[in-house]
Amino acid sequence: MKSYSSPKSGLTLWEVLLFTIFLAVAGGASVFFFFLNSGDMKKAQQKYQWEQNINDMLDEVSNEIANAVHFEHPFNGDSRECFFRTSGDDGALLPSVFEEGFVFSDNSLTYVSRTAAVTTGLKRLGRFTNPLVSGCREGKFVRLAPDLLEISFKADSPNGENVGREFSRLIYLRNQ
Amino acid sequence: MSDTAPRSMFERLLYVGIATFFLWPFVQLWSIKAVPLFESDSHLRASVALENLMEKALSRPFERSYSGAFEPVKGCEDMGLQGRIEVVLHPEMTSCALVRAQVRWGVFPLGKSLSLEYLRARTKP
Repeated sequence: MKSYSSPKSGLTLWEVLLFTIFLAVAGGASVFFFFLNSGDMKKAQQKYQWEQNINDMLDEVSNEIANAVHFEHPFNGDSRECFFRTSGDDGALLPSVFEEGFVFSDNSLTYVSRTAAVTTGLKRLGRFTNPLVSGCREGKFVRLAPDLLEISFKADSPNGENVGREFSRLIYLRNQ
Repeated sequence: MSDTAPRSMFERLLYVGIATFFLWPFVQLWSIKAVPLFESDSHLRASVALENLMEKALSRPFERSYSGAFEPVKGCEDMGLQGRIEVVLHPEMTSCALVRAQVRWGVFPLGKSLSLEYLRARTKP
C-alpha cells in the first residue's frame, strides 16, 4: 500500500553532510567564544594596556598642542621642551607671561606651566597625572613645518615586555 | 515525494537561513575588525599612523584635488603598513574639500584598511 508520507528510509548523504557541517560550525563557534573569555585572552589584552595608555595620553597632549592659540617654542629645529599660549575660558588670549608646555626631563614627560619668573609642574592633564610618562628616552619635539610639530620618544614598559618601543605623533598646529 | 526529488526553493532558503544563523557571529567579528588576541597591536599602530597621516595632510597647503599613491609608512614596515592621502572636492559643497587619509595592511583576502575623512574649507576657520 502506498503511503502519503515520504517513503525514504534513513538519512541521505546530503543531509548527513549538512548536519556534520552545522555541528562542526556550532562546536567551533562555542569553543571560540569560550576562548574569547579565557585567561589567555585577558593576558593578551593586558599586554597592550600600557601602550594604549601612552597613546591615550599622547592624544591629550596632541589635542592640547594642536589647539594652542600661539605656539612659542621650538620655533624651528628640535628641542626637549615645547611651550605655547592657551586661551582663557572666554576664548581670549592669556597674557604672554603665562605659558604652558611639555618637557622631557629626567626620563619623563611633564606638563608644566611657565611664567616670567618660574616654571612649575602642573597637577594633571585630563585624567593623566604628572609625570605623564616615566621611563622614556630620546624624547624630543621637532618643528617640521610652520604648522607641523612632531613628538617622539622611546619607552620601556614597566614589566619589561616591551623594550624600546617608539612612539611618534605628528601634530597640525591649527592656529599658526 | 520520492527520494530523488530535487530540493524545493523553500528548503534551499531554509538551509541558507540556518547557515547564516551559524555564520553571522563570524561575519560580525570580521566587520568590527577586532579579534583582540591577534590584532590589537596592529590596529593600534595603524590607527596612530592614520592620525599622523591626517595631520600631515592637513598641514599641507590647500588643494582642490590630490591623489597620492599608497606608500609604506615609516616605522611600520614590519607589518607592511601602507598609507595614502587623497583630496577631493566635496560633491555638494564646492567650496569645501574632503581630505581622506587611508592606511592598509595585510594580503588580499585578509587585507584590512582604515580611513579617516575631514571636511576642509578653503579659508581657515
